[in-house]
Amino acid sequence: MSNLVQRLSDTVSNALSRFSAKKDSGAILATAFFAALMTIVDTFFLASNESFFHGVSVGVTSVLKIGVAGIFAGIFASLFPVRKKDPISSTQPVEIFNNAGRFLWASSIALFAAGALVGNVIEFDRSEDIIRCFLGNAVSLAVVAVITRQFQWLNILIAIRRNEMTSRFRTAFAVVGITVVLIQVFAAILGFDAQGIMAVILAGIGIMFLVTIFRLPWLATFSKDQKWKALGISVLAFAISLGLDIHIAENTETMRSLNLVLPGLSNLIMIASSLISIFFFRVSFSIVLALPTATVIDRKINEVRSLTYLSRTISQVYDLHRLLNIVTTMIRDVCGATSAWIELQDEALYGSPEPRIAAQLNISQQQLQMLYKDGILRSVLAQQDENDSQAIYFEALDEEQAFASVYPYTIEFTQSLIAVPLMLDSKRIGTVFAVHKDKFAFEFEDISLLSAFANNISIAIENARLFENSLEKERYKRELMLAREMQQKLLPKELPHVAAFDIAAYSSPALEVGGDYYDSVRLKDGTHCLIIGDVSGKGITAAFYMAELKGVALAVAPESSSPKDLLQRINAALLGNLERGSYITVTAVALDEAKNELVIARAGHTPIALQRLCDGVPKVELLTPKGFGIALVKPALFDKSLEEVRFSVTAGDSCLIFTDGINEAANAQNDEFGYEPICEIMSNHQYDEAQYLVGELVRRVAEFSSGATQFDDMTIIGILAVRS
Amino acid sequence: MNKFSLEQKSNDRAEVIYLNGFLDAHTAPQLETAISIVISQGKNRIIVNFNNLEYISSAGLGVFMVFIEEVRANSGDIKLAGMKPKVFTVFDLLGFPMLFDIVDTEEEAFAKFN
Repeated sequence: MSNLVQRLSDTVSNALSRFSAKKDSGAILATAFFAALMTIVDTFFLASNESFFHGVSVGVTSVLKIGVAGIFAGIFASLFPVRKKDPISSTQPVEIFNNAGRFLWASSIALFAAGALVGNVIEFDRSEDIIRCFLGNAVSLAVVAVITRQFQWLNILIAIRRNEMTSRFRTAFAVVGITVVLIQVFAAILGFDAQGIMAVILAGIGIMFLVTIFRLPWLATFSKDQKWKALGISVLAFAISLGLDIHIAENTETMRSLNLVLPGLSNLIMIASSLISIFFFRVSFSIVLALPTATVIDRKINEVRSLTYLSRTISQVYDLHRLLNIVTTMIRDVCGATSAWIELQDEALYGSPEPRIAAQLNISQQQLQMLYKDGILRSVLAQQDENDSQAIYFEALDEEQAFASVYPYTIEFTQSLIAVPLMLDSKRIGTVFAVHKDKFAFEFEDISLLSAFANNISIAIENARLFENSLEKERYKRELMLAREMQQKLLPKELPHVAAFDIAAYSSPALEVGGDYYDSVRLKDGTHCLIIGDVSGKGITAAFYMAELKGVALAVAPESSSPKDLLQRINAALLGNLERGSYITVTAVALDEAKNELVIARAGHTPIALQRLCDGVPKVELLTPKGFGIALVKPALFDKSLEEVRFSVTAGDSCLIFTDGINEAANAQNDEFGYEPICEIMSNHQYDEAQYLVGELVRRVAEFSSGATQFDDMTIIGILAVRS
Repeated sequence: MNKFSLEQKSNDRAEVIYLNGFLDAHTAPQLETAISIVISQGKNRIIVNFNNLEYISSAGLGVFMVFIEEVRANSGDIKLAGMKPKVFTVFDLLGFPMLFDIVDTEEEAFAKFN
């Protein structure tokens, strides 16, 4: 049933809203429409059919009109929704009082104007005066609207912080209310005197009401301004209810109109208005009582709110600079300071243990300089113990001996000052300052609030720093990964396919990037030449030199006639271009396909392992032809001492060139891999592919050093002769 | 693993630096600082005693190259003494025996100065 009414009212109100965009005009239109509807009902049943049995006609009229009035109330409620959302929240009392003002003013003016009009309308018999009947109905509807609205407020305000008793009270109210309506209606229709029963019931309602209206917890949450506003509105609501009461009691026309809508309605309205006026009187009274303490309560609420906001900020703002700016603003706002600033002492950040100003608000650099002049402020703070977390408060700087010299300059912007240390793990990390241009501007609460703030600020600053550090680390890690990718690209993707030799390679840096290098270049005569290089040291520096080596090798190779020539040119190019003490060891192996020979030159590099068949038996030699490391000595000495050796090979002979990360690979016991396993691998197996040879060596090294971290970069090139 | 220490003894003939443990990229700066202090004191005759050095890495070798030209320009020298075979191999591969006097004992090194 209520659904049906709701839907009907929605449809009508939608139609009305479309008729007029403004809700006020919608309300006026609705009132007019329903008043007209009621007038038609009146006219039909009473005016045009006087012979009809009076009691029945009054009854039917009333039922119809109650329906109409109900629909109207529904539409009215939907036009001006009291609350936007369920369930009732603690902010609703504020909303109600915020939205009530206009409604109350508009409705009260409209109501009294209409009431006055009705009262003065020609004293014709009702049945003959349709206009008067219409106006009477309109006023009655408006009264119903106002009363409905006020009851809605009442309902919500009482329901705030409700308990089980509240809902029982409300149910009881509803039951009693309906009983009263029924008694009134029947008493009016049937003409009996119900005053005795009414008196008992009303007394009951009155008692229940008085108990209930003591529950005004929502009032405490109002700010001072909101309290003033609520006071105005409840006084107005009280006046309107009382005025309505008096108006109905005094003005018999309105009373008659109301009773024509519904017999006994005037009594009901008066009862309702009385209850409402009592309630709003009680509210006004409470607000008046609460006003003197409003400032203190406001302050406490503000404290809680700003602390909450601060903790939320801490968990959301990780940018130290932004955080400090927000916090400085908060400091100024919570204690009503003129200006505020924060100084931090952070040796890691500022490079000295001296505190620096990290954020300032509403105070210029010059003004700060004046305060800090001659180290006055600093020496005042220094009187404190290093681990003292107590706040310092100067309520009047002119009374402080320490500030005597600067006071004349700072008087314009600082006469009282609070300084609160920022402590973290009982270590001082900075100070929060709040100053006011007036003397005695701060109160005791401000200091305790700022101290509470300081604790949270310290944590926030620490959080922001930790976050920044981890971000930084993350960035370095990413940069290193990029460097690694770049370095991988410096190594050849594919080794050349040479008819007489099968070649394979492997490289793995110990850290993200390394100083090992291998490549394949073509010499002047087009011979393929394999290069392996090991930059002294590890990590980023080595990686840069490795890249430099590649550039130089690629540049000089087309000019070089032999591996020896190649190394000489590389040395000449790099000498003096590396950091002092840095050098590179390089081995170059040219693949002479025409003669089936390997041409080897070694610049300080790890020995080269060569396996050849000697009388049908595999024999492994470790070759160390003479040669300085690259970039160690001047070309004259380097070139003179560099040897080049040639070895003719046949199918099945193999050669391994590697960096010292292989032979110096260590296990958990710190034993070295050495050269023996390399020789063993080469002599014990006949290989079809260089890849197997290299793979076997990698596998053996991994097996040997399992459990130990890779200490140095490892690179291997395997060469297998495939032509007899 | 990276334990390294050095001691110094000086007499009128030369400054002797004794190396202990592992000389690698992390510990090389220690040796570099020590030598540079010796040179800044005007002493250009330096003997490095390797008797107790277990391991030397490429970065460790670099240290000797840093100073050799400077001390020789001041008619001094750096002489290396008492290397274990494994340590010597590293020097040898790089061609150091052609650049430095590498001798078996400290006394031989002193003798070389005379």
